[in-house]
Amino acid sequence: MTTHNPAVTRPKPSPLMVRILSGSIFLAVVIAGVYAGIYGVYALVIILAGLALWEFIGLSEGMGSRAPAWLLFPLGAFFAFSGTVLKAVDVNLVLALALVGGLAAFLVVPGRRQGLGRWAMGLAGALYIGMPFNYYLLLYTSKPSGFVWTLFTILADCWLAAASAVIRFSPRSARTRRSRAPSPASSLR
Amino acid sequence: MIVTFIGVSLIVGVPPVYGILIGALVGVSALVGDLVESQMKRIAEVKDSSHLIPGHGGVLDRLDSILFPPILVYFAATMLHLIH
Repeated sequence: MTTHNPAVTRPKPSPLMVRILSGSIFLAVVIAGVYAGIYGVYALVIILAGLALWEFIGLSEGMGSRAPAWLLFPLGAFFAFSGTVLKAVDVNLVLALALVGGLAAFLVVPGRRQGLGRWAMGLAGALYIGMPFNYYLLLYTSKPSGFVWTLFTILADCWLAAASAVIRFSPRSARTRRSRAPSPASSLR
Repeated sequence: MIVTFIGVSLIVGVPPVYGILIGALVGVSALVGDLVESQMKRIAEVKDSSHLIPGHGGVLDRLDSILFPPILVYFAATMLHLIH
């Protein structure tokens, strides 16, 4: 027979520790992908852009116009690889297809009352997430030292992100947050 | 910005003034990218874009500041004939 003792619990890691650990793993995966060569970078782009596009669907729904997945994912993938793998495909042709095909589809698919807004959100999301990855790939494949340019662009951004995290978790910042929190006296006013 | 400055000017071997310029572009565009995603989340009334990465929120929360810099870095480096 086993007994459960609620008093014996594993110590919960601090939010900062969880953030540092998961951030380190995330950064290690990114750097490993970059080091693995062009196919590693392609894999990284597919995974990260795919997840970001999926998150954008939820975010766009919260903003009022849910981006359609059937427009967002193909268009996002095209924009991400438009300067490298899909260089031969004409951007004008894809945009024309997205315009005619995308808006035509909203004549028949459910939710057509919001069709224009949803189409615009799909196009915006594909550009917002796809285009930056396209430029990462262009930087990576550029000569000379494309790899160094890519790595230092990512590292500089990570440095900025780390600096903002330090500011956010610093004791001074916590004091500021506490001082902004409504006190019992102020809530009575 | 400092990392970019050191990396670009010392390792790649470009004039330091270009390193400072590109570093500044990275700094400003990273900040703008962060603010753009924050605005989206504010409109959507959510704190994080998802909960995929513990302690960070979503992938988009981590990528927000690194989305815009490569665009400016690529164009600046191309216009200054540092890459082709």
